[in-house]
Amino acid sequence: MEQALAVDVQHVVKQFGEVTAVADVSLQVAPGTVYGVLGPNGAGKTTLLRMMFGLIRPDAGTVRLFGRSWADDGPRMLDGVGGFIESPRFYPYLSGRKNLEGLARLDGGVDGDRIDDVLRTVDLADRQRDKVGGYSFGMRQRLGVAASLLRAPELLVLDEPSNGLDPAGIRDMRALIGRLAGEGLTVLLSSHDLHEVEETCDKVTIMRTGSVLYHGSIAELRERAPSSGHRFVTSDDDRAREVAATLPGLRIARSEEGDLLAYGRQDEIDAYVAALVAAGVHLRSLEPDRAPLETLFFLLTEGDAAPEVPA
Amino acid sequence: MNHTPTRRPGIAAVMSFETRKLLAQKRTPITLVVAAVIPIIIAIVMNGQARPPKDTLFGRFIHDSGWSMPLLLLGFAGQWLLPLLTSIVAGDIFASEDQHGSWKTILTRSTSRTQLFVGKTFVALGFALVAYVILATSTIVASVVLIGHQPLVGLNGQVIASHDAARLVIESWASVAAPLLGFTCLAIALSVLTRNVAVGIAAPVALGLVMQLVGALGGVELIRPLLLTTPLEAWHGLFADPAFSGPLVVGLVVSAVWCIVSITIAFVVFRRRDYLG
Amino acid sequence: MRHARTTATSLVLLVLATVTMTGCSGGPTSSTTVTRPRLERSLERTYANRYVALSKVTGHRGVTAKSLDAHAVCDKGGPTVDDAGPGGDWICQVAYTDPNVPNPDGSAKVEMNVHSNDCYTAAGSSKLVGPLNIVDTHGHQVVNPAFEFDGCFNPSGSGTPDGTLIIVNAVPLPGAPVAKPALTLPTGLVTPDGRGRVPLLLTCGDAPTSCSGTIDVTVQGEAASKVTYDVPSGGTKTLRAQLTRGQARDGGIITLTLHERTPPPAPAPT
Repeated sequence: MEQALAVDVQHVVKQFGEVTAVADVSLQVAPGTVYGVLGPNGAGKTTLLRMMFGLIRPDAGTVRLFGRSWADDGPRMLDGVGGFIESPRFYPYLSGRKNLEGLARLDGGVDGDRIDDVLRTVDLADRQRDKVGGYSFGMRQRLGVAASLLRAPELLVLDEPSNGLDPAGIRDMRALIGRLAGEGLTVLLSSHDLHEVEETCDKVTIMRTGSVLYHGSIAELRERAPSSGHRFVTSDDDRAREVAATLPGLRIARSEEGDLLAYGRQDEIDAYVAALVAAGVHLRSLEPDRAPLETLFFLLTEGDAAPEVPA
Repeated sequence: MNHTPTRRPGIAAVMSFETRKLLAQKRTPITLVVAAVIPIIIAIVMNGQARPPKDTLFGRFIHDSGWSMPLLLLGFAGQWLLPLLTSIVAGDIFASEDQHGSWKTILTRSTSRTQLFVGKTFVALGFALVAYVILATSTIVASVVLIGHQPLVGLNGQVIASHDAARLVIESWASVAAPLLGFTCLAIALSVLTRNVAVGIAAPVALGLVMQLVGALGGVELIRPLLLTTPLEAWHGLFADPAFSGPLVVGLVVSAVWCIVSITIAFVVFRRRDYLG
Repeated sequence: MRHARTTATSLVLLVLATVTMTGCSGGPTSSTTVTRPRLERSLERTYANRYVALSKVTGHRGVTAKSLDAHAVCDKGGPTVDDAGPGGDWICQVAYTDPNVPNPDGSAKVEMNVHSNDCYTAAGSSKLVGPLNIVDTHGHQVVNPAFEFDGCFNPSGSGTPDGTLIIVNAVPLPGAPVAKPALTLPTGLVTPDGRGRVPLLLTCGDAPTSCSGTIDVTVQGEAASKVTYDVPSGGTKTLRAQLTRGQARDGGIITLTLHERTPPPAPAPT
């Protein structure tokens, strides 16, 4: 028998009033993969994850985890699935350990050793008796991972696990995810941070405003990436913009510092430089601005309209 | 696939966790202590008053029989104390999950929504009963110790022997448990519907006062028996001669209907709700 | 924001529901549980029990609820008001027998404040039961058990009137001679005969002439009949006042209003 997909989302739709949070999204994750769902805030990632956990019901479509669905299996659907949505929340008046003990009860009981184990894994063993109300954001985030690991999951679903963490915390969290993935866990990770996904994931789905823009491996994505964005400093930016408009394929944007940014294949950038010189615009400086993958992500998610992913 | 078989949790697991959560919040033990101490203070203060509070039934006899004080307090407690006693937990037990944003934490474990709902409801009902038994015991014991166990004058002017009065006092307090649990269900429903702790706790008390007010108006006889506050007074019949129990039966049915309707609405809303918080 | 709106909506709905329920049932005393017969049956028991307690305090022996044989008739707010529903304007007359305390009025007036929860507070007539604080046989000051007392009645108890009729003192008409009327009217409990007639024992005092005139008979403020009398000086006569069938069945407070024919001026002493 063929092994069931860890995650099998089919044509899921969710609307909140007038707003379509998730529009016809499908997503498959094979067991053992570290999978990223990448997109800016508001792309519908969290709504998708909530539907996977049964917290909200899809208006259409189905979600299956290891072949089990909410409709057929109820809370059994979540057997072997751990994780958290947005920042994990606990009872501030209970200690970290008491929170875990209570959640373990709701899982049918877990022995104390297991709680010790997961607390050690997330490096909270020495703070386990303290009330969660006194925990830092990062500690609560780690306690969230501990709560997920309590159930010895085969699928770990983490929503923005590095959100709100300081650089050291982010490094630890990524190392933890790497370690868990190394143990054969399937991980589904949502993030708005390309670096996080690029660093930890094998495969990625990129979403924007509720729709899927790209499905595939990171390696494939890297190949399809355009060349870098380039930062132009010219004598006359307005004129340079007019010149750019005459060149098909080239995309122009303004950097946060107000500089001119141009995106395109290398030959298009070369042509643009030549055209600028021909138009009498003096080029003062030209430097690569973003990594290629970042440029693709930028083009996909920040542009005025969703561009087609270069084939 | 090395799928570890998960043990299925039951309602008992939910109740155990909910009880621990309750006891870890200062409010819960404080409420129980207050339920034990307040009647003693009231009994001492009342006993020291030269003029008995005649405007409540049995108030005029507080110096004459220790059995009248528990009845005076029962009449007085119904007005707002009992709804508050139960809503302090029942109005909070669902809405506090919204307040802490912790629905997603417990709804993503192995318990079903039904198990969570039933477990929380049982704990709220259980707390109401425990707090009420403490309140009743403290009231009755304090009154009898302070004043004594003299015969009591009933509601047909008849003299009720002390041992009969004792039984009737206990039966009266027991009868009020029905509307008390009705208020528990109402508080649960408000807690689920509004997802707001303040409303869950305060609204049942306010509604209790409104119903009391409506019940005291003339010309509302058709709805008076339907109010949840009417069964709070059903015990009066036990002290008449001959005693009558019609209002007790009606009160039991009315309390049950309030409870079932409230809980059903709460359950349907709870089951179908999208948890976004 | 969402929550606040949901909360506000729920509260508004609850208030509306309550108001609607209140409004729908706003009919005048529709099917009230507070009825005259229930109040009367409860009051006569309660009054008797409290009166027995009073007799114990004052040392009157042999007074029991049975020996008192109390009967009560109540009226709410005079003849123009329906005798049903809660209110502080219920007036009851209780007729009872206590050889220790003669009562020329034949009944005791009790003022009742009846609540919508089928309980009441009653105030006895201090003329008959004494003041709030009394002295018991041991010389201790105690609270008078019959001065003011509480009671509750069964809201589903029998609502059928038992036909008790109590005559209260005749009311002198405004403008009538202030002098004490020569005719003595009956008071207290009376029983109608099979044809709905009530016997009225009339006694004419030592008047210079015979007592004559008319008596207006009302039950619960509603006219029943007019009786013409002529009783010789120093004599007695029993007349019969006809009641309507309803009045005889339901009972009530009978009020006799006396219209004495002005006696001719007394002859000058010789």
